[in-house]
Amino acid sequence: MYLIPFFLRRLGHAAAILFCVVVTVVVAVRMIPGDPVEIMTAGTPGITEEQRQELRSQLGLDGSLLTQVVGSVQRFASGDMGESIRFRRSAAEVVVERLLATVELTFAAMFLALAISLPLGILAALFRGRFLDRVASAVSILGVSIPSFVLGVVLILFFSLHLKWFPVAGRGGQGLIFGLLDLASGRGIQPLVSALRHLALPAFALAFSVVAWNTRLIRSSMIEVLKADYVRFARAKGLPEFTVVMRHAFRTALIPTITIVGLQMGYLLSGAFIVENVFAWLGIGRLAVQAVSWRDYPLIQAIVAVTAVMFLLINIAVEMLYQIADPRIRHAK
Amino acid sequence: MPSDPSPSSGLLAESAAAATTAETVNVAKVAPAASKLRGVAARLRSKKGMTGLVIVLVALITTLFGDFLMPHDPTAQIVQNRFLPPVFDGGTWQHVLGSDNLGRDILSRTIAGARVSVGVSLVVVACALVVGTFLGLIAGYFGGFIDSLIMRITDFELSLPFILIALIFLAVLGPGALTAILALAATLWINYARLVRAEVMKLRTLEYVTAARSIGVGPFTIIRRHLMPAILPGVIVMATLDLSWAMIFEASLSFLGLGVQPPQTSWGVMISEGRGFLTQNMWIVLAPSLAIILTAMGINLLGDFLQDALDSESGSNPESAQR
Repeated sequence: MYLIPFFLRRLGHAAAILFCVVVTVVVAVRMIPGDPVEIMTAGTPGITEEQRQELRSQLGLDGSLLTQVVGSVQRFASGDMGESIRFRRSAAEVVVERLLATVELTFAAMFLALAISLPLGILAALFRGRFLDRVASAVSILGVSIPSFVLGVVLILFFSLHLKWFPVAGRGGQGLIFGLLDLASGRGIQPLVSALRHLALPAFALAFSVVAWNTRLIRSSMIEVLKADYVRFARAKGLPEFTVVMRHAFRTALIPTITIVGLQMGYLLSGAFIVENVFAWLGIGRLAVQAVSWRDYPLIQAIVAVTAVMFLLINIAVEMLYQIADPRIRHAK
Repeated sequence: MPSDPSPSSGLLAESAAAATTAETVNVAKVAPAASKLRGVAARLRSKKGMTGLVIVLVALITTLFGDFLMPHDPTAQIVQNRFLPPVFDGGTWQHVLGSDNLGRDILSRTIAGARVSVGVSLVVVACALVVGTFLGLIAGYFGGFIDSLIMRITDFELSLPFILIALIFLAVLGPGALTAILALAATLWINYARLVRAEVMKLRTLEYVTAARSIGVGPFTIIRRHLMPAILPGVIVMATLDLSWAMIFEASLSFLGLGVQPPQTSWGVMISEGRGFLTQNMWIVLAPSLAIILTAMGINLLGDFLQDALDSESGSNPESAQR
């Protein structure tokens, strides 16, 4: 039950950050050179003076900065993030509709990254200087040198256009969750297969740099741990090598990796904004680029706020998992 | 890579990991710069480091002397020349890598792109380094309110994905090269502020610093003469590694149409423009792609090498020196 105060503390911390986020986006619109409403509505013909006035008061531009900030914080807290100029409906709704696609891509990339980097890092540490170690070392340099969008374009060129193994773009229907639901409700495996085929290339393009860091990290922490006395002792008492590596060494070596998964989620989320635009993946990232070019300020505000909420929640979840997983923390209380 | 959730991704991640696994305490890097240089010289035999250095030098020369290296005007559009194939695919030596959808020479454009791509990342890292180091010095040396303020700002930025910071800048300033520079620098300065602050807090209690203070040396002289030389090597290593991060994300933003704007070209812009013509001449995309990957790889190899040299110099991480 030590988790509850911890959870509340993290929640309070997240609320403080969200408060700062809302203040920042509100002040940001205020800092736009010129009249934000003029800039925003420049691309929207047929807008009436009345609507402009409404927009001005919706953004709080007609009051003082303080009343604007206070009013906006109250509005955002109640989930009202204004109306998107482009879509002429609630900006929060538009963003939330796209949320699942981005979350799906981000988590798929994290899963893929761990699925590749864990075995690769362990094997590289066990067979130092041999072939697999060289592969791991090449991956760890390439991964941090290839931009995700370049990898995405190259993957499309080779696997979609040349070999025709994977679709070029899009999500292929409703995505992974609904594919699973369809399978569970007996509507066949087709939607799931389609979702996975569409997901494969963007998830890999996004995951590759994380594969690189994690492989490197796991390799070096495995090398460190394999030298420890308790590992030598486990070997000395005649345990099979597999047990020594997986049960004794790997579990300890995993801890540094778990601690940075939260950080990497933020990186993947940033990366997803870019990769989505390569693969025409209809998530928040694609919406964000469009919102910037439309100068749809309420929509941009909503994107920043919703993404921040999602990211903070993911991070709290990761930290809770960490609390549960690490025996040093679990038994300390 | 900087914790590259934010840019600080890689570095932060690795340093966090190192701290957890091995309780590596960096021995104060007080060795004079000369011995550090000797340490670097001793490792000149490192194949990786030399490869990186050569690539980085080539990239810098291309950036500085691009005008003399370009076979053609990178902006000249010659309609009859649309989609010329590269020389190894039936083309002529006139246009080594062929030409793009507007008949512009791809090799010349790739060289012209180097100036913007490498130039922007140099500016970004320089801004971040100066601002971050300055704030880190102040925070670490004086502590108190100013320290808390600076650290809370870094906490705030670190708890958000970097793209949101960029998005806020884009909302205010609109897309453009300057926005990209500001957004990237606004993310990167944190790395330097935190690194420098931690180093200063460790160093300021050392005897040679207390001695200097006790004989009445002013704070700015102490910072300049006694702290900076010890901190600088770590900062330079970080700057090298951040350079590739900045280059990659400048390219990414330009690719999305949020950074450098056409007709100005950068590698990201070229890839974005050529994406629709992959089937006509894939070199429109492959040439700038290879340029980014090679340059980033060179920078990373050099950065890793410098990091290893620095670590083994200060005796904190013998493992990495063996690699």
